[in-house]
Amino acid sequence: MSRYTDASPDPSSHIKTLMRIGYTMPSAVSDILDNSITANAKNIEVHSLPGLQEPNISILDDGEGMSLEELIHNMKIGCKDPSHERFRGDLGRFGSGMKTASFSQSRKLTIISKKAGNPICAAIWDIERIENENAWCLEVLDEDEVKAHPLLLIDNQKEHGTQVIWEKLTCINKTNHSLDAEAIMASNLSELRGYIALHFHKFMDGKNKRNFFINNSQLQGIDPFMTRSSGYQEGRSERLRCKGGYIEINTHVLPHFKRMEGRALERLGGANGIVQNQGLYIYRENRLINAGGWLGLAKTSQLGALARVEVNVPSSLDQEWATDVKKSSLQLPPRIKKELRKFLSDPIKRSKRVYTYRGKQDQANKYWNIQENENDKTISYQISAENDFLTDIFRVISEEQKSQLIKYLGLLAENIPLNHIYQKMSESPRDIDQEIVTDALLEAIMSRVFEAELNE
Amino acid sequence: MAIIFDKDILDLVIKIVACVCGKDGLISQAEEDAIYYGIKQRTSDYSFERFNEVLETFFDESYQIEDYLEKITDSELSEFTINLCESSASADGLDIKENIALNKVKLILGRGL
Repeated sequence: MSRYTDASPDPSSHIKTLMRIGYTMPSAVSDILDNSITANAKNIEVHSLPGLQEPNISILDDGEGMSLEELIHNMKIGCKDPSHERFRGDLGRFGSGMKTASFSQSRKLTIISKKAGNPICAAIWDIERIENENAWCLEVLDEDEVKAHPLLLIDNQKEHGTQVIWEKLTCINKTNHSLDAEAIMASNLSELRGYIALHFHKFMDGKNKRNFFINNSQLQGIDPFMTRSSGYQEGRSERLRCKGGYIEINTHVLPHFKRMEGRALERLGGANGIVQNQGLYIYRENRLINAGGWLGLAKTSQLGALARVEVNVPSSLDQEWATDVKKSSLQLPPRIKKELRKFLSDPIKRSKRVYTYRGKQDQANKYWNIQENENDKTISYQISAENDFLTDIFRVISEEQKSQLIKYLGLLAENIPLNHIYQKMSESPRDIDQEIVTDALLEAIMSRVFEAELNE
Repeated sequence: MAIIFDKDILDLVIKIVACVCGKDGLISQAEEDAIYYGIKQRTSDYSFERFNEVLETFFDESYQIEDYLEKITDSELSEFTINLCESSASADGLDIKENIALNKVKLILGRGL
């Protein structure tokens, strides 16, 4: 007869597994920001002051906060069942994000919180203690200890809010000897700034606007579709009804690189970033989860660089979309793949059109064209290929002569003495006489041929 | 003259059509528009709010298409249901799963294949 025995994970080993769940520093901070948004925070601040012996990161919000009972409950790993339905706008999923994200970056997690009508409270997960005691022993501070906490940022006058503190940071990778902790932290914060500005850009604008700060400097959202730039094209849209709301699909085509404003282009990663980040932008409850890539639905190409497909998904579909603990990856359900395929060809086609558009061409006369390239902002003067005289010559000469002539005409066009023409046209345009050029050319060629014959 | 159907009955018809169109848990905008248009054609005072509520309830229910179909007994209602399933499911192209579900509706409601 079979029997059951307790095979609970060993806390000291389990915590090590949880520390290696694969977060990057920006994705871990973003998981904390998800909780702040769910708690209806209007101001979310990340603080990491330079010059400290032991650097730390604090994430402070003015959300609803927690009572001591709620805090202790939320400090448990897996405090929520992922199969339970969440209300619209709840960015949480497994009830593990705050802890696993924190453990991936630091060895000491302190949460200080204040809920309206409740005293300020705090609890600490210290990995060292878990390892030493081999037990999930959560430290709960009393009110006086909280108020005396050296890293406390919650204003006691404020009604509510939460502060997440990471200490004993592991995200400062000290194996790189060329950089000190401060330089690594500065680089991490710079990466974090770009990540938050992109992944939370929909929360930085509109009626549900929230303010995000890093070390007191406010973040500006990065719109990956550049919808307010000139040259932006909006494409087809579709709404698919599903459990818990709608999946919304919108297609976008960015303006050509050359027409983008320098700073906007830089924020999207430059020309390379634009090419690499073409594809699907999947948002879960307005939070960007997948920033680019076609997820196997199309091939990344230079000409499709400007194509973007925005997909907005409600959190009620987490199960079907296989959202992971980090909420940074998902799998497209088959039906969605089918629907999305219908949308891909249009933005890609239009991206190709924008990319290859050379601008307008004017005919200066029967022999010359003026090509204005709006993408490159250049003008070139080209020999007209439509000229009847040239076509007639091509009909009667050999292949070798044709290629020689093309080469010569190309060089001729390339070497127009534009500067001289410009100068003389400005100074003394009446002195320019192009009527005599044919006679002069004939004379010069005749004398060269004659000289060559004499030499032979 | 066409019989005016009770709104509760129309709620049921909408759920049957949703079963056919939303075989994979999704109903496209074109399908949704076609369902609502078909319902409004039959009963002009059927509100969009009610239509929305019915679809939301549908996604929360775990009934099978047979459970809804067994409540359809009237022949004119059967005809209306089949036609609405057909026009709505094909609004954005009839795929194989939708076709199987549509044939099931036809079989159960007595039209046969």
